[in-house]
Amino acid sequence: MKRVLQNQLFLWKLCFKTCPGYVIYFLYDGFRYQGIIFLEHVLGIRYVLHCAEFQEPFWKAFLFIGVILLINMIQIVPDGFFIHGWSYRAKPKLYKALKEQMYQKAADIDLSCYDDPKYYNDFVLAVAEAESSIDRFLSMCNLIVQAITVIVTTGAFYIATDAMGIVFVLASFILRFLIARVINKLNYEVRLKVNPLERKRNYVSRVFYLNDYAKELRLHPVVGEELEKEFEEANDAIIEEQKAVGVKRMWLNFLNNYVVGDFIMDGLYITYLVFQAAVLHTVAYSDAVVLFNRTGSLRRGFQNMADVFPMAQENSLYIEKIRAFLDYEPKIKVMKGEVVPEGNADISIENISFAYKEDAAETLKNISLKVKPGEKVAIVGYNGAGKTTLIKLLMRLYDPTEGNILYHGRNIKEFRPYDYRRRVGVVFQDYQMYGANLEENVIMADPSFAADQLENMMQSKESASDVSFYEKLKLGAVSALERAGFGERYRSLDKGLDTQVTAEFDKEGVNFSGGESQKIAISRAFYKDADILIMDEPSSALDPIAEYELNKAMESAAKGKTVFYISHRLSTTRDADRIILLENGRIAEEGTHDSLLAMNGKYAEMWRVQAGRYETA
Amino acid sequence: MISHIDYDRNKDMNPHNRRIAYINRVMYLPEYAKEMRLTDVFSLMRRQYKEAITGLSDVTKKYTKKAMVLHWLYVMFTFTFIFEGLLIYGAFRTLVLKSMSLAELSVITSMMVSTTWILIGFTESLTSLFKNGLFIEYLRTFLEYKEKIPEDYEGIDPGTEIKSLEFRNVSFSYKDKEVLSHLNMEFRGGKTYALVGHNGAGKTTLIKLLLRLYDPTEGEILLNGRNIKEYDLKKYRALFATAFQDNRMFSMSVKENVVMGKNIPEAEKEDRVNEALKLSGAYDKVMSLKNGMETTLTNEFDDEGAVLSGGEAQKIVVARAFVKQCPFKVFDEPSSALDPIAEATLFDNIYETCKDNTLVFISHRLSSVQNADWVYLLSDKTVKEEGTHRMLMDKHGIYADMYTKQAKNYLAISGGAC
Repeated sequence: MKRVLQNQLFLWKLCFKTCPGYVIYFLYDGFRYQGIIFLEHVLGIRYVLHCAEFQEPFWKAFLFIGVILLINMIQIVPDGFFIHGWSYRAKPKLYKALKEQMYQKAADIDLSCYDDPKYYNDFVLAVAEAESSIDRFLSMCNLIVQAITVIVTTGAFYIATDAMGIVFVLASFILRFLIARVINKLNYEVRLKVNPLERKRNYVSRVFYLNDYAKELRLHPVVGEELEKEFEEANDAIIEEQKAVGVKRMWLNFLNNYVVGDFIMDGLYITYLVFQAAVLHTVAYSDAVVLFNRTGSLRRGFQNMADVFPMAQENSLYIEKIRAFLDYEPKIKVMKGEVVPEGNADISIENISFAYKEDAAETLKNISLKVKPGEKVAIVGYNGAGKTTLIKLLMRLYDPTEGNILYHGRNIKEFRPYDYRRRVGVVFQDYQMYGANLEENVIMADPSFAADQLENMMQSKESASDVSFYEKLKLGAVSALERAGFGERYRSLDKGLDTQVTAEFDKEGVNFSGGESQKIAISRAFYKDADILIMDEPSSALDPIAEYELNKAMESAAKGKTVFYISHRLSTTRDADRIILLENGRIAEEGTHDSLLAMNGKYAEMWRVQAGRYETA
Repeated sequence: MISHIDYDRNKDMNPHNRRIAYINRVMYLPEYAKEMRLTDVFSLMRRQYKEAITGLSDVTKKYTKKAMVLHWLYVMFTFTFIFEGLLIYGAFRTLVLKSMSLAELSVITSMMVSTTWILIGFTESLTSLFKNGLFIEYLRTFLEYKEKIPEDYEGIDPGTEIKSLEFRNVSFSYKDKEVLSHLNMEFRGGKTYALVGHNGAGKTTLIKLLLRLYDPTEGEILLNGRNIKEYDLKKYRALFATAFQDNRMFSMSVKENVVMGKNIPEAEKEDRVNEALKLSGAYDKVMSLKNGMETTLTNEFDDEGAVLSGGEAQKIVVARAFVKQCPFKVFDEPSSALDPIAEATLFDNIYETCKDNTLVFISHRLSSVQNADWVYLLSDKTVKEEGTHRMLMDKHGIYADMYTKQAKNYLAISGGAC
């Protein structure tokens, strides 16, 4: 109970802080709405009926109605503004207030969270429900105000006229409340069963309408048919679930609506009222009419008050997830730690082991390696040997379960992850192109953010320049693209750095080919110009010429830098200062190309298999 | 009229909402997580999000005044004037004309109250109807879309044999950008062909034209002498098995992901899938999964589902091409994510198994290309060079340059090229 209240308070504080005026109006709106109705339906009608019953002059009625009309005409004006102007502006701001926090958190949480399906599902759910939680919360507040307004105004009227009515209404209400609880529980159970079926339906929907699967569906039409079948099956299953409870639900609703609702009110209460008016003459006819008409609203008022708690409870479940997500303390605290010393240095990997999950098999076992600054280390091995895992540890996306990694003689855990990670330039195997322009896809930041960073750095170095910081960013990006072999393609683009990448938001956007995208991904690392460079299969999608040119570019670009690269193209690893071959998480062989060939082990075999097929020209 | 405003407003807001949906995806999908942490791309997302929110707010400014006026008129004329008007009318008739009794007046007022609620409901339904109607436009446009390449067009049965597949003067443009220009190429039944060329030269596009996922803008593609447009599309496509570069795993079992709905009798399915997995090199990995080949792939709605790495998924895609029995097999960069041993084994298997098929593969691994019967080099939107490996090397052209550059590091002072 307390938790539910706390969660509501959390959202309240958030909404009020962001758009206080809007939130206040939202509440006022509940009062306004019910207030006007009370004015028209109760006071207005009662007055006219009263005039008729007690022979009052017409002008009195006319005046009364006239005043109500005037009030109405005036209050609709801000209402229009609220619905068609304010809401559309304020709601996104409210969503933003919450979502921005969530996005920031998403960027900070440990990468390992994405590996854990339970955490990940909760995370996805929290993000999906963020906006609706706010909507539900505001509606709930509005409903509370409406309910209070009804109860107070109508209640006062009843007490002033004939208080017995309240007893009838309350009785009807309480009974309905109890029955509704049973119905809700039923619905909740059904929803639990239906949810996974709906997930399946949504998946099939997505496969059909997303771009990604279009080719496959056309080339393997039977898959499409089978998916359609699955969709139908899921649908049928949902129908079955609903059917199973259908009859029970129907009877419960009947009980709720007729027996408890209509019978008590339309049967018993009206008999009572007529008796009071016609026989005992304790109630005027006009009052009786209005009292009777109003029972529905009063009961709904009580109902709304009662609905508030389950609404709050349900919303609270989602808010819990959101708050849990926001409160999550990452194991690797991105902003905590010391500054990384300038310049390149030794990297020492000492006896590290790593497993993705506590009870899972170790992906890396007891790896030790000492790398001097400027050394080029190639990592080879069969698929799944742990190569990508090793570099993820070097990037500090995970911490080893055992052992340490040292840089500049210190454990990298001491350094601020944010800074450390920016000292590592990376080209991933599964890089992504972003729905932004080419420049942004290279510098991987918002230009104004990056310009500020650059300015701060420059200031601390006290070097003046004629070129503005934005210009510097652009020059840097172009240079990086050139070095990655993208120069010619770049020059063929009319919009240059401003070209939109992916056609997701811009019909003129460019969907670069696999190889072109890879060059852009490589240019990211060149742009970063970090002392440590990590490349995971950087040339897998490149044609021979592009690969050759990339290797040449790497020679100059990587001068003085420590480079780790994973490659299956042993022609590129051949020139490494050192080659390590991973097998099942351990370093199976280590040495230079020549020493490994002489060893005649696994590396030698791989080499023979790959090189042997090239005949001398 | 208010619905029109709502619809227009929604249309204007749509691009911003799509942007927000995109940013949402980027923030929670695991694909972006690594780069999010190693770079400042978050600052980019944050800025785009802010801009989208501002955009939404700006859109409304355009419509507010007009909507407000319409709203006022709507409420006044639908409810207020009628309600108050009726009250005054009733009062007049009862108090002045004395032609209505209190009882009648009571009934009228009670009715007015319930009618108000009904009217509100009614207008809301009407509004929804209207709003929906405008959105149903989208749905109808989609459903009534006339495909340029009709999927169930009844054409000639292409048979089961491919004697020749020819590209005659084929040009193709994608969104006003020309990708292929006056291209000529022939594939003869039973032979092995390799397609090489720079990235973006149009190799994958060529395959898509071959499969009739698109039609050429000029020229024609002929199967056994007949334009492929004349054939029954489904039967035509059934002649091909393709392993593309991008690997989409479906949320089904490994077995189903390999079979992809082909009509293979249940009895044979498991054996053929095992065979295909062994050839592609994925067998060991699949057997190591909890339920072997019955394991569901992706953890879309099976938390126990297996998520394969890039290389593993690639092998499954290749297995798809192996399992299908058809005359024409296409492999687009099948080994880009594989280690040297797996790669060599794969190509050996491809050559061996597809001995009797017409085989086309795209590869940058020129060591496997050299064994093809014929090589086509694509450059500048057309076939620049063609011939056997030997012929092309002797030409000392683009192909020879590529080959030399790639082989260089393998052969130079190569102590191991035995």
